[in-house]
Amino acid sequence: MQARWYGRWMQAAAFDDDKGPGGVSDTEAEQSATSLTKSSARERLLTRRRLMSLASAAGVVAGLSGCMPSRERTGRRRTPTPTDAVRGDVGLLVTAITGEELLLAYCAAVIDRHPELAAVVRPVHQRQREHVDVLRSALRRLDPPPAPRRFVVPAGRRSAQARLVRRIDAARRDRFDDCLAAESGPLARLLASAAASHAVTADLLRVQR
Amino acid sequence: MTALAALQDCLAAEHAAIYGYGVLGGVLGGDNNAASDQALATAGYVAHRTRRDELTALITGLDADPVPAEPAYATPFPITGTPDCRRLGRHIEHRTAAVYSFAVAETVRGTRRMLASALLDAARREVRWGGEAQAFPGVTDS
Repeated sequence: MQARWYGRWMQAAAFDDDKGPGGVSDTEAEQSATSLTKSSARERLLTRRRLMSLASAAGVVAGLSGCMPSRERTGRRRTPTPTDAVRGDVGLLVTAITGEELLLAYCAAVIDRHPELAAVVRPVHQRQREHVDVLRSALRRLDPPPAPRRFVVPAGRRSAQARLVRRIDAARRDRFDDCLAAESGPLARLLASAAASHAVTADLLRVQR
Repeated sequence: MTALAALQDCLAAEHAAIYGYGVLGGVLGGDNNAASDQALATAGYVAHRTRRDELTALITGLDADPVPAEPAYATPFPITGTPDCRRLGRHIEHRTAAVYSFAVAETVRGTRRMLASALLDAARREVRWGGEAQAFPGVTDS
């Protein structure tokens, strides 16, 4: 007897990654394609909701930070408390948002300077926008820090793309380190996932060079 | 969920992934025009075995019994040719990334580092199998 494939987390599986149902009849393929489209649309909705709910969970740190007592003013020595951890996460989130915003602005600058790279960089820009949106929603109580909007993008297309890859690699390392430093589990999860997204993006851009 | 339960989930996913890679490796082996897919399958198989061993050691170190592999697993769809193998590869990595992302939230320090690395690797392999890049791999559809 065969075990269920992957256990309980497989049960709601929907295969939005299907590129072609090999080994089935045309009718089956058609039916399959229809249901895949439906489940894919449903997944996108769920995904957005889940992402935002995860961001809210991570954003608890920002909410708490607004009502923390300022013990430093007493001048007494003290041991680290859970609120210190919360404050650490807020700082970490602010840094992460700044980094992601810079990368977003750099993507826009590359497209501006090299319109012929738009097809390659626009999907990166789109994912980057999502990173910023989700991380910002985890930090609604704080104003996003201003990010510089002017960059020097190399004149050569290959150099511009190479520099973009370097920046994405740096963002991957930063988000990975942020993930390890995060006190909040949901925030760590978001940051690890953002790091994974950067890793994939850098791989793809290297192939497209 | 506790850290131990999250690690056990990761291990269960790795057992299933190893089985899945065995299946697709067998099918790809019969396709003389699938050299790059075969290489990808071999690399994925080795990577998942390594993660399985790491997780087993971690769980044993917590004085717990690592969850065993099932004798066999039902694939989510029939695997009859190279396109099915690519689809299965994407599927395995997509699901594995999801389990690792959950586990990242439940752990700290060195264990979190290992799990986050595994999430990165799974996301990369999913795209190498032809999957689409995502803004938050492992978090979507989880």
